[in-house]
Parts: sequence; C-alpha cells; structure tokens
Amino acid sequence: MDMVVDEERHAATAGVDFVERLGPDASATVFAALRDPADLARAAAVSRSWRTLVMAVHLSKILCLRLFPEVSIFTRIEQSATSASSSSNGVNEEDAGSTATATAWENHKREQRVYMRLVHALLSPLLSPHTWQGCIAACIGASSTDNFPEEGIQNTLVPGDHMDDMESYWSSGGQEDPGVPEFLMYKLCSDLCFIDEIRIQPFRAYEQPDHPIYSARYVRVKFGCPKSPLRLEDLVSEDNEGQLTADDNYMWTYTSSEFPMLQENVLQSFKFPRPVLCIGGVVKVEFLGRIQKQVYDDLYYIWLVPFCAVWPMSKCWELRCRKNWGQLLARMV
Amino acid sequence: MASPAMVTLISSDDARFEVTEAAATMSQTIRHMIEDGCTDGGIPLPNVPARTLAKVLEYCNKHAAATAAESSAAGGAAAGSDSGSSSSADSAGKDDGVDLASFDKAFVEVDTDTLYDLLLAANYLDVKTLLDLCCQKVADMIRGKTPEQIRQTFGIKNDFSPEEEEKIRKENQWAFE
Repeated sequence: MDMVVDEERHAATAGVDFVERLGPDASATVFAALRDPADLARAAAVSRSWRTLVMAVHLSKILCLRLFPEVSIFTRIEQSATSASSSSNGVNEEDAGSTATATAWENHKREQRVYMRLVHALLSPLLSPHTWQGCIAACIGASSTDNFPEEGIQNTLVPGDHMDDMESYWSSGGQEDPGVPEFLMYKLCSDLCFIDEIRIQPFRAYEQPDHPIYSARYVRVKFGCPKSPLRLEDLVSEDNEGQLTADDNYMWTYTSSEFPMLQENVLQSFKFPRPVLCIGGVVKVEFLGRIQKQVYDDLYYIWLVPFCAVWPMSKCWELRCRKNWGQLLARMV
Repeated sequence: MASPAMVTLISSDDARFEVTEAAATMSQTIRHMIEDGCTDGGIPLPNVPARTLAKVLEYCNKHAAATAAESSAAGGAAAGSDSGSSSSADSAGKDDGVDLASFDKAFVEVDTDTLYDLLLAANYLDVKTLLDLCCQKVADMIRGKTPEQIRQTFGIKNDFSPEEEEKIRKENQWAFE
C-alpha cells in the first residue's frame, strides 16, 4: 500500500532533468548557486551528464575561491601519493607533457576533485570549532632583543610568566623614539591552517618602581610563506637569534588591521573578522608604538609575557613552495 | 508630467506587450537593443513565448516600480514633496524591501516546467536578479539530498555502473556521510 502511494506521488512530482532542459550554460548557473561543497560533490554523482557539467565548469574551484579568496595564490594543487591511493582512481603523476586531449581532460577532472577536497578540508575545521589547537612550532626571530637569550623570543612560548622562579618574558631593545616598531616572527605547526585570533599579554615589571607595564599601542598580524623552505639553522635556538627576519624572505598573504592594545597585564585577544587561512605557515606579529619608558635608561621598551601557547588554530594541508615563488603547490596529506 | 517612455515587445508567438522602458531595460538584452536603436515596430524576442514573457514582465514591472518608488521617496523627502504625502511615500519605500522579498518568494512558487521556462528566459533576456532567483530555487531542490533523492526529484536515470558509483562515492566519501 505504501509502495503504491509512493509511486503515485513519485509519478506526480517526477520532474524533468534540468541539465537536459536548460542546456549546459544555464545549468552551470544553477550549480553555481550551490553553496555547500557537499551538495556539489553529490550533484556530481547523480548521472554522467551532471558529472561532466560539474567537472567542466570549474565549479569546485569557483566555490573554493569564493569561500577562501586566499587560495587564489596557489598555482597548482594536487593529491599526494598516499591519499591518492586511498581513492582507487586518484592520479598523481606529473603531466608527462602529453598533448592528448584525454590527458588534459583527466588533469582537469583531477583538479576539480582536489579543489572539492580542499574546500571540504578548509570548511570542516570551521564547522567543528573544538578542533582548535595551539599552533606555534618554532621561533624565527625578533626585531630586537634586549638581552639574548635571557629575554629572547623563545620565552614567549613557555606558558606562565615564571620559569624556575625567574620572570620569563621577551624584551625588545630600548629606543628613544616611541614610534620605532618591533615584531616577533614564528613558524606555525602547519603550512596551511586557520587562525581566528591571536592572544598576547604585556609584561608588568614587578621588580621595577611603580610596576610599569611595557605594552605597545597597536598590534598588527601578518601571515605568509617563506620564499625558500625554512631550515633548522634559520630558527631561533640558545645561541642563534634567528637569521631570516627580513621581510624580503617572505611573501605576505594576509595583513590584519591594527588592533589597539591595552596597557594592562592581562591576556588580550585580537580576533580577526573571520578565520584567516594562513598560507605558508609563517606569522609576523608587529607592535606599533611604544608607551612605557624604563626609569633606569629613559628608553622605550616593549615587554611581553609568554602567550603563544594559546593561539587557536586548525590545520589541514601541507604546502610546498617550489624554488620559484610562482609555483606554490598545495598538497593534500 | 511626461508619460513614461514605452516600448513594445513581441513574443515568439507574436503577442505584443507594451511596457515602460524602465521595466523593459531590466533586461540587459533589451537595453542593448534599445541603445542600438532596434526598437522600430517593436522588439522581437524569438526565444520567449507569450506565457513566459508575461510572467517575466510581471517581475520586471514590480521591480522597476519598486526602484522608482524608492528613488522618488528619497527625492521627495529632499525636495519637500510636491504631493504633500511624503510621509506615506516614505513608509511605502520602507515596506518595499519586505514586500519585494515576499513577492520574489511567491513569484517562483510555480511548477518546475514554468520555473525552467522562466530561468531560460531570464538567462536569454539577461535579467540578472530574476536569473539568480530562479537558479536559487532550482538549487534549493538539490540541496541536502542524496544523489538518489536528486534523481527522483528530477526524474533522472542513474547511468553509472555499480562499480563507477562506488568509485565516485569513495572519491568524495566526506560528502556522503
């Protein structure tokens, strides 16, 4: 009985395949109105003609770029051998220089699949906020340090503002001009990750008269990619202040607005308008404008307590930058 | 006060429609024809039958009138209003947003055949907001459905082999969970 009712209803509502009825041009516009990559992926599994159309019009790439404009920086995007083997028809070989149309079409389909996966990979951490995790892997360097390594950038990674009963903080060098900016630069755990906020705490010097707080006026954040892969010896260690802090070693893909900082020794959150896709795994935190002079030398300083352990992020893909910056390759792992 | 400029549109089945230029030029296709001076004796639209054209013009009339009301409400307020009813014109202008949204929603509550006709006409005539409206309506019929449910909705035959289907499913497993 149920069957009959179902069939009747089906017969009454069975529609017409719009891809046949509307033609490829208008149908593509319909597919482009799908906002969720999962809808697009399922549409591509409906029939051969639907699949061909979804693949043909770069829809997953368009969707990906609409959701994450930062991704437009990728010149190529591919699946790694391991994830490709998990799907039986994933292909990974480089273009063999074949001019055959069939190969071009295969490459095109592969690109579409990978973009679809990328969009999913990028979206899913945003949909499940509990995956946020701390994200600093190493220190690249600071613009200046008053006493290295005692007051070095690596102190900003250790939770708590005391280590072995000693106060632990980073201190910039002193300046007569309060306008001289400072920055700290870090390498993130993943080359491709989302960061939705940065938290920083200025240091209150209890040992000094009146317990001054050496904060900055503004904080600005940049994310970017090193132009050549960072080597271990480029990073900060006990006897190395860091070699690669100059801007021309990096391509900055995102620059935040200037967040005002309070002259209070509390953990301050600087939240981006939306989670930022950090491409390249390098973050530069700039401190603009000094507020506090030190009584002993009458110079302006910025001092910060450890704060980097708590930046939330979610990681998704690995990124390879080829020798030449023009080739940025996202690789799904 | 000058009467608004009118144009004549001719459907594929030779029906003639008199509409304001403001409504007609919501279609970029018609706008270009008018700009090119191809309006003598009416503008032929060989791809749009009368039934669909009437419906498209209903949409264009409504939206063109709303746009005109909005700008005259703004202009009226600035000029102190000549009709002495600026307050009512103002409130009409505010209602238009809500009004137009519910008009749009009701406008595409039609059978799929009519919806497809409208979509094709909006595409040909290049009425962007109407095209978006129709595409969104069709996209809504796909949203959240499994491939099998989509096939049922649109009467599509599954022409994949079971092996191919399995392969496709595996490829984007995340979308099927």
